[in-house]
Parts: sequence; structure tokens; C-alpha cells
Amino acid sequence: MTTIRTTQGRAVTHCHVPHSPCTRELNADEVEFCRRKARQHNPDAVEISQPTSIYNCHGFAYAESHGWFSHPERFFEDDFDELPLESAREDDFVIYMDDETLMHSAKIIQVTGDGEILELHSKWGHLALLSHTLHGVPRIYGRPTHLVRRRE
Amino acid sequence: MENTDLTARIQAAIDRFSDREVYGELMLASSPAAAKKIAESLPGVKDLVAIGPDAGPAVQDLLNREATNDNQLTTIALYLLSRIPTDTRTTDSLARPLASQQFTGINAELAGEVFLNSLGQDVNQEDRYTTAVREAKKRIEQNPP
Repeated sequence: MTTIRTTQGRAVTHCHVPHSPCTRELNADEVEFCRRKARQHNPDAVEISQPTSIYNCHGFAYAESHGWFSHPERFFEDDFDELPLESAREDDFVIYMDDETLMHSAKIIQVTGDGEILELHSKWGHLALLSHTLHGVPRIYGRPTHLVRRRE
Repeated sequence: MENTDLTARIQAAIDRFSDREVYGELMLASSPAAAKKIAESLPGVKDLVAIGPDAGPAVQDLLNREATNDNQLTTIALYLLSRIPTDTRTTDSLARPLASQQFTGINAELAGEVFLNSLGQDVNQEDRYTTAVREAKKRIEQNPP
């Protein structure tokens, strides 16, 4: 397994299917089930790439879809700055929280001139990588509460 | 009569989340913490937590049945074991599958967390799974079948 490190040299735990502790890749039935789930949660979300267990939302957002990352906190601490949601730019990331629980990460694709977030891409667990609006994610992900930007 | 009612309540609660359309919501989880949030939101789960230790054997049965079968039902069983006070049977029942790395994905870390909690160990989330596997192997060596 490749070791992914922050710029401060700290390793960020992750895994790759089908190696332990990652799970196996989805079968055809599960892929269709995941597509149906996505439609139930947001019929307007557009699939960018098909459902898979190879990577999750944090892996997509902070590690170029390298694998499944359950604990992205070290990325935030070492390589990202937190900014007000109103200052969003393309290629920033929105974090969704339910109370104190980090539920989801999404990459900003399109923003208006006055900072309104129009389009994001994110991977919904094992579901597809999808294009959606700021509030167009499953309700269980909670609210978009934080904006982070990769430190230059 | 009371026991019959309780058994029926426990089974009814399990039935509420046993539909794939319901437990399949766990496919949205990207981490153990997110999975726990989703699990606790599913119908029937809070009922079992409220019932408490009396639901423990049924939850343990669910885990034994699904551990090699369905990842999402296993997640629910592990979440419930993390919320329902149980005895050392939980520790012993998790040791072998953990040591043989039978749990996968989010369940691997959840099982590690439940196992370590039952031993009274609080371990950094980054190291939880590897620590749990190591401790599980130790426990098996100390308590051969």
C-alpha cells in the first residue's frame, strides 16, 4: 500500500479494495442498488462515475481518489485552511457535519461571482461520484458547515 | 407473558431495519463515525438501545448470522453492541473474527472499537483496528477454546 503523507510528514490511514481492512468491490446488483439510492435522495444529481468501494468522499476530495480514507483530519490540520463558506472558490471543499460528526466532503466545481456555490462533485459513500448543488446531498449528511482550501 | 412480549418487541425492532431498502442507507457512510450516525437513525435501532441488555443476545445472534453475509446488517449489530451494555461474551465473540480479519471496511474499525471498549481500552482512531487485531490475538492465546 502506498503511504499517503501530509506535507508535515504524517501518514494518513487508508485502504484499498480488496485488501484488508477494506471491503470488496461492489457487484452488479449492488451498483444498481446504489444508483437507485442516489435517485431516491436526489433525482437531480448527475452521475459522474459509477458506484464503487474503491474510494470514498474524503479519498476523492483530498487524495485524488487514491483509496478509502475514513479519517481525513490530518489533511485538514496539516494542509488546509478553514475559511467562511461565503468566500468559496472553485476547487475548495465543503464539509458536511451532523452535530459534531464529520459526515461528508464535497469539491466545489462552480461558484458565482458573489460566492454562491452552484455545483459540487462528491462521492456518496459506496454510491456514485455525483454532481449536485450545495444542499443536494442526502439529509443524513447534515449541513454544510465548513469550507476548506488547500494551503499554497 | 412478559418474556414473550419482550421477545416480540425485540424481533419487531429487528424486522423494522431488516429490509434492504432501510439498512441499505448505510451504503452512504464514508467512515465508522458516519455509519454510526446513519445506523442510529434507522427505524428499530433506537428501540433496541432503549430495551438495553435484554436485547443483547438477539443482537449477538444478528452479528453471528450476518458477519460473513451482509456488511450493512453487521454494521447495525456492531453499533448496537457499542450502545448496549453487554458482558464478556461480546469480547470473546469478537476476538476470533477480529484476529482472523474477518470484518471488512467500516465494520473492521467498528468491531475494533467495540472490542477495545469491552476491554476498557480507549485507543486513537487511527490505530484502533491494528490495536484491536493485536489484542484479539492475545486474548485467543490466553483463552484457547
